[in-house]
Amino acid sequence: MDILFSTLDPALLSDPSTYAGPVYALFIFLEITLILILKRGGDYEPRDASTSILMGTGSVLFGFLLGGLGYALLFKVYTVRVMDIPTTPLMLAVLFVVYDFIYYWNHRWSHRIRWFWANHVVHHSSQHYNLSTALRQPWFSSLSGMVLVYTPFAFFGVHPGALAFVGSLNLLYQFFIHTESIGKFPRWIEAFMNTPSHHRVHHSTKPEHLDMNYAGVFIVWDRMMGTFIREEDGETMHYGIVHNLGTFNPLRISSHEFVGIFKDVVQRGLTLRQRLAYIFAVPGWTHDGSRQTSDDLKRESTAEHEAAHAQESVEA
Amino acid sequence: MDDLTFLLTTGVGVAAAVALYVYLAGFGKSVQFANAQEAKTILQKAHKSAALTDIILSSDNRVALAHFQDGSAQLLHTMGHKWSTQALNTNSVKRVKTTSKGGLHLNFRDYAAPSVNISLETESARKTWLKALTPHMHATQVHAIQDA
Repeated sequence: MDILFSTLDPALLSDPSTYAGPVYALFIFLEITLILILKRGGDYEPRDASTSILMGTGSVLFGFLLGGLGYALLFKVYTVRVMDIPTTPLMLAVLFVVYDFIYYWNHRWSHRIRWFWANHVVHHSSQHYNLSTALRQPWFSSLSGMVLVYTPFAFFGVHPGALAFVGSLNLLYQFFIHTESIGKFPRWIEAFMNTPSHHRVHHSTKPEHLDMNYAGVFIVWDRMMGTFIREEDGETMHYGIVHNLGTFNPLRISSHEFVGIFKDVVQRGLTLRQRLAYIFAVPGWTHDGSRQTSDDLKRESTAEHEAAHAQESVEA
Repeated sequence: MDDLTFLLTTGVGVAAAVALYVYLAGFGKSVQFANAQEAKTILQKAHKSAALTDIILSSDNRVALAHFQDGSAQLLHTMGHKWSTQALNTNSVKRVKTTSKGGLHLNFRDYAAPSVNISLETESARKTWLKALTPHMHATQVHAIQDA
């Protein structure tokens, strides 16, 4: 038991994602081979997969170049902390769970606020769902300001090194759920862990699936917050975004939503409130209602289903 | 700096190796629609609010342009194994070039869908496509094509 309370030096905790590259590559090759042998369990496309990997590389690269800003902010806040929380294995385990809850909200806001979506859309931009898709990460997330969500940890005495460590483990876990090669796990696992099945739903473009299953590691957050939806057995999934991109160019993929925001904001004749809404409202919001939000798409889909049921009832 | 160089070279190297492996595994072929009906079905699904009135296809069945009753138009083209549809407005087409094989290369104003190649085998098909694309080009582009 003592080992749970033994103090660790948080500055010496390594960042697991730094060494994860070879593991990612190995599992991607394994997944391709498995699909090739079994002739099922997913799909790879050369340009799509290479784009995703290049975007992952770019994300780490920009993290090196810009990520210092966020880390510096956490350290700055840590210097004015109100208490000290020693870094122990037990503390890291608790932090892992709490971090995952904060990740749930971070992820939810990334879907519901266009400024954050402009980064996160990158991850959803592939029409494929395989391990390489997990690596399709934004390049400019360090500039989004989302790091502010994590500053209370530092303020209450969590060392930024410990935060980076659990954040990295969280990300590592999520790599393995981006696959169609695994169906469903036993019910008890599906009940509280985020699994490939749950996360496939999150990447699906079916209106009912939009903005659901935000979890990182523990699906219980979605169950608690009412954003959980189950993958139906044998359901055919279509992945990507509502308006899929027509390019494999990593720079365009990384920046297309920011370009869209800019074009919307500089339109003539808008009020300040409307310009701000183009940045911070839900993706798909427009001042003239010319586009659809995920809520609009869900309402439309529900209405279509109800109309179809009504028609069936009349015919019966 | 060494770390960044290592990161870049391994990232590009792994991306190239995965792409090559996927290609050699036989996953490199782009999708094609079997016939006009299949293209119509995909396009109608992308634009549910109005009925499709006419459609033209590329010679390799990888690009289609459809017009709808409400006056709108949608371009369907491949993204590897998947389809991508794009709404065409009055000024969507930025540039049209004839390729060395007699097809068309279109550049769009849409930042997220910058260009597409349309494979065409006959001069009449090329003229049909140019005519269909004319409402989606800027006037200067239309003049340039007419002059050529």
